[in-house]
Amino acid sequence: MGTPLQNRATELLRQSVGDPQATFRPGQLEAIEHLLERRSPLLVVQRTGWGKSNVYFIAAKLLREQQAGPTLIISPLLALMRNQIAAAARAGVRAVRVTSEETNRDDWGRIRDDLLADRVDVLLVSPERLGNEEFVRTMLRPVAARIGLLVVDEAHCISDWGHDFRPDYRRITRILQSLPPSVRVLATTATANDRVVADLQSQLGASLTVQRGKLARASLQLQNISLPGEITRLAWLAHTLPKLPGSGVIYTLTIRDARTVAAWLHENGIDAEPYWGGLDEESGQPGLRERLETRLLRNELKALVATTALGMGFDKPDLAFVIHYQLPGSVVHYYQQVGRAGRALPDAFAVLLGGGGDSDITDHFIETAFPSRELVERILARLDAASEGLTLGELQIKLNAPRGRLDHALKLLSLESPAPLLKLDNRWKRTVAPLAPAFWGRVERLTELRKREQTRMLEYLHARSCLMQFLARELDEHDAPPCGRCAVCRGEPLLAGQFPPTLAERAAQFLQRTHHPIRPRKLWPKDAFSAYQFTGKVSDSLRTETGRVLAIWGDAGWGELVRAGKYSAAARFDDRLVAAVVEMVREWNPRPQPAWVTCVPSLNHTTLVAEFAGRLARALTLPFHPVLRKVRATPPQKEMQNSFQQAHNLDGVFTVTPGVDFTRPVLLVDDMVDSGWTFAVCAALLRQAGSGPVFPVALAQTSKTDET
Amino acid sequence: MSANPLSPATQATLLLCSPLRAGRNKDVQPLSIGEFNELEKQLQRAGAGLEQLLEADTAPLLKKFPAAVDAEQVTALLGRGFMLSMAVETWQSAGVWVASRNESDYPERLLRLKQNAPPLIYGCGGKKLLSRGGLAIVGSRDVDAAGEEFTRRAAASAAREEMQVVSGGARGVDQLAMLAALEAGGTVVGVLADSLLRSATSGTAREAIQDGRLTLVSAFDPEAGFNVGNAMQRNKHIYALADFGLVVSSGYNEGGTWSGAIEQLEKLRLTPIFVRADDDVPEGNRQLLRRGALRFPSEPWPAALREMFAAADQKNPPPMETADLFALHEKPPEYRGGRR
Repeated sequence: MGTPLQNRATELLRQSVGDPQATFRPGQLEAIEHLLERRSPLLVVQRTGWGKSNVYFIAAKLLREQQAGPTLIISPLLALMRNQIAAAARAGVRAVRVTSEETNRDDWGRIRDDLLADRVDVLLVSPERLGNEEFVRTMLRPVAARIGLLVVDEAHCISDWGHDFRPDYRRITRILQSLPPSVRVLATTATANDRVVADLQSQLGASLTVQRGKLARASLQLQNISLPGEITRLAWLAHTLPKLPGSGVIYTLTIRDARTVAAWLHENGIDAEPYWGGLDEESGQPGLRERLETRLLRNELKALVATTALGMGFDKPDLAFVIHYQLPGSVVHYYQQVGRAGRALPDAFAVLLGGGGDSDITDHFIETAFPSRELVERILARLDAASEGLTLGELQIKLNAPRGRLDHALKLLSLESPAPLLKLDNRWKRTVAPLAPAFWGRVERLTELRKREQTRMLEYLHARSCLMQFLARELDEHDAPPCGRCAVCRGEPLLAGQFPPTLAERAAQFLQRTHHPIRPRKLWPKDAFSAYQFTGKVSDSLRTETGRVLAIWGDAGWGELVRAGKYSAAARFDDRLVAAVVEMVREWNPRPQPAWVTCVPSLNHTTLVAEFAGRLARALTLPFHPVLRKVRATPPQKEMQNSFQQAHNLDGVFTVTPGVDFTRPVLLVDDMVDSGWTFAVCAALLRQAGSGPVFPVALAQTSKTDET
Repeated sequence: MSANPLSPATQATLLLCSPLRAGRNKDVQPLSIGEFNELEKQLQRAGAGLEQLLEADTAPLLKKFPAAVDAEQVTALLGRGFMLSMAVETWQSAGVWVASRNESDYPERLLRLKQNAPPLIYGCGGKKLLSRGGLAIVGSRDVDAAGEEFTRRAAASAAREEMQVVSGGARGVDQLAMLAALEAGGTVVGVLADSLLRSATSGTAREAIQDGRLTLVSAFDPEAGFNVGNAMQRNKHIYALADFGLVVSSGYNEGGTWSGAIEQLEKLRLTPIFVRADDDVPEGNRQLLRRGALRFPSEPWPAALREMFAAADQKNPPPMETADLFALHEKPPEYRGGRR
């Protein structure tokens, strides 16, 4: 038998996993002992599924048994830690999560009472929480005075050389650096190459102890397949998935792709569901993510089609396959995502689809990871001039920049140290510090690094040597032998890259039939409509109904044809688009049924939309009445970059002349939809003048790439 | 850890004496100056330094101390390591620095306060101005128009003679004096009783700090709200950081200006105190003159205020022996001992 500490730790492990014979994996007990006995910070680099949570939950419990304060775990992956928390509860560890989810918000009061009464052993929070004043004041302060162990998950984010950039880790790094030795520290990550480990050592101090395990996975069978374009990939998936045993995950880079792929698979009788970070809110179904995870865990789904929001911490030992619909941003990301497959299976497939224009999306991610110098300078100048600071809303009025970009830039700048700006009572204020030139140095370095990672990913796609070895080497595990299981080692594909041509035709048709909703705007931006005097909520009586848009600008369905119509010399939308919209309206079947058609007027292209709307009306056998008039030229709406600017640009621009059929439901046609403010304003004017319900219809959506 | 921005002694002082970001809840109470002085004395007797309090197990050390040190309270305060790092991170990011009494970056002039020297001083802006001394201009919030005008002219004159203005940052005389000095191109030290963080990010102050012409300091948590006790303490710090004091308007037997000036005149005697003594000055001003304050000459002022101050300084009696003030201690602890 071991020491009393070892025995107690083993006892807790067994309770936790519900197996009286369970033993620790190599390294786990050593890590627990280190935390209990020594004060030097510990870095654990162990593959996904190794059981890091066993280490910190059991260490937390043992510390509590020694009268120490609770443990604080900082992890970006809390949503997925339910299973680990349940396991810890079996060992008597009282762990609570505090996230920004609304459902969780309702529990804050109770959690706070528990914290104050010292009934909590482990508090789990996301990195962003530490920057939230309200959270720090109401939730963290009750325990912050007694934290005995601080755990930082995804510790590679502390290093600029890691494959992930999470701005909030800037703050976490500084907190770690100013910790006195009385607080124990455990940093964990599944992926850190030599350079990242060395960087962590220099950031966290030479006393950092490093424990590093092996990475390669015996059961993974890797294969890369070059399939250019959406159509071929969809066809391949529909053809191949039914042949694969078990359940798995299909990773996409964007939410839009997750939706499209899942819908296509559904249409082909395959049980697949889309999954992304904001799913619960957007679907209006709280807990949907969790239910989908559970269904996948129980193999009730063939696949989840997910963005990277389905991350680490999702623990399904019998995950049979991981397929990437597009190239991820780096080999390390790829390794992490396929690392979830086949932990408890003799065989699991990891298939990477690539070739074609995948880099466009990752390029977009790289380019928008940091704000432009120009935007930063404009923000700082505005704040310099405001002696009592500005709210985000006030900045939006003063700067024509997208709200998301402004928010992102403010956050990044506020995480610098010293920060050139900070948020006090919801107002952004300049501090005495200038923005250090080193900021831009870092931006350049990180951007370069991301581009190198992208190149390496392409090299992996076309690798002619063992794929597993390639992955291991990327993480500086240089002694990994060839795996003998991947498509390259075997010299033949594991899964055929072919599919029947009819399936490709169907996929092409499917993409043309994939319509997207146009959702009504619900709130008039403050002070944007002084002429129309629209303020506050968009009342039900002025609001548009949910509309439909045919395509995404430039996509593989109708997008190209729309672009051709808009920019060709003929300035006419093809008849096929009329037929497509008729088909869309038929399938959509809006109620109450529209009885006439009108369109959004333009002063630049007076006939393009009106002429199309006229043809559409004829094809729908409805009358066309162009009742809206544009009375003032405006800069193109696409140049307006945030809600305030987009809305304000339309103030007082349109008028309505009611005519026949006016009081009946109407289809309101435009070629492009971006923010939806044009539809919102036109509909409100129509309804004010007494029209029936307004259903917006557009040919293409021009919004930027979805975030994941 | 090697990258720690603060020395172990400063970390220990923060753990012991700082609320670590103004909390209004039931946290353990930080040590008062008196309690901290006592702890330092006991540490010194045990041949230990503050940095030893950061070590893993402080129980054996604390056990040696007499009951005057509340070991349980000290242990609880020292357990706030995570809170300390959170607070330090917030201050650092906002451009706020902190110096502790045992470190070389602590303002020399505050050490004149001996046992009353605040264990911690927070600040925003360059530390250089803190060694420059200058003229402390103080007065009540509700000053009359004549007093306001006087304040502006006095501050501007000082600035033109390259005498720094030291003041308290409160509404009324304090703010008028600081603004006038800055406008006349002078340097200013603002000694705040509350809200250092907020003050440092407001427009006028921010620019002056960026230009190196203003430094704001406070012995109190950078986010602390107004508190009468702190405001009284702060008066000591103002005079300590200045060479001369000028009272523009004071209540009689009431208010911070009065008690701060009386404390200087009758107890601390760190700086000579001048009082505005025109015809319509408040009763407090007149009474201060009777209690030993010096009459600030009527305008027009002599060409060189500085010479007038220097001459007055010659006549001023030396400070009382501190041993009289702090008879509690057999021998005042040696604060300079830990300095590098």
